[in-house]
Amino acid sequence: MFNWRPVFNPFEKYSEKQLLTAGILFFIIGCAIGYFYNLTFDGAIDIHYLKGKQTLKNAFLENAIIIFIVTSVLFILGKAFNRKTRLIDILNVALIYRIPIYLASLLTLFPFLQKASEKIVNDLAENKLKIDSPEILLISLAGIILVVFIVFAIYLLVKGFKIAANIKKWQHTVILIIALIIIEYLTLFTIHNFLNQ
Amino acid sequence: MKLPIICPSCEHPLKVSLLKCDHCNTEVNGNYEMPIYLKLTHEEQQFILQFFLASGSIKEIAKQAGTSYPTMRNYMDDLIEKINKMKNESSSNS
Repeated sequence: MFNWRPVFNPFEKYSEKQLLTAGILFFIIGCAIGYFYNLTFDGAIDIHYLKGKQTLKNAFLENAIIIFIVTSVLFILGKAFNRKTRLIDILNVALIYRIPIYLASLLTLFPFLQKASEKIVNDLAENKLKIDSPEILLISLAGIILVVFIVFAIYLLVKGFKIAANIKKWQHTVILIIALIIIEYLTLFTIHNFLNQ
Repeated sequence: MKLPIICPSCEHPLKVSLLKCDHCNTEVNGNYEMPIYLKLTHEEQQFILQFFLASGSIKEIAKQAGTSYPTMRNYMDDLIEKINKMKNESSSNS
């Protein structure tokens, strides 16, 4: 039987080198997805279609800014909780939690989902959208799957940070959740203001 | 054979009451506190031994155990905390 434990908690099993290699590899894949399929990762847990054309520079910078902000905030927090927290472990958390987000972005590329989305927009414009249409069902299903991937990404972020900083108290978890909200706003603000999107 | 450290009846820590010389069969009776190392679980004792044999390298024992460095370091930090607590308890009792 397949062992799911390393999938749900890779930070417990894999060495920092293995995690860093996988993280960098998926970072490159994520940048390529953004560039080739016109997607923007404009926040810590955000994926959106771009109206204009995505540039390679921006596709790279968006992901780099997110990883930099996540690493910086979590490293400061980790050091405050436990002085033994290492930068490499936090960096790996910032790289690995993005894997489900990159995978989720692939979902938006299925042609039948794009067609369904276009049909909904057209039907809405012509005022003939039916709530029980197959397109609505399809898009709702895709939305649920997307949410599952995003939740999994947050789960990895929390799990990874807990191991990197060895936190066990519920108060620390609450502070971590507040920090994640700050990270989300900080990444959105930085990318929208400094990358002219 | 594993040394029992917890009472199977009431789950309180056990003490040493009898020591015996295998050579002359002399027996010593008393109520001795177990050393802290022996109060740890078998798994924790094994960890300390492995850590010593790996020249105190967390990285090395993490590799041997097939876990990540922070997982092993956290295990060690928790164990240090446990031992310090046990030391404080035994010093306040004596």
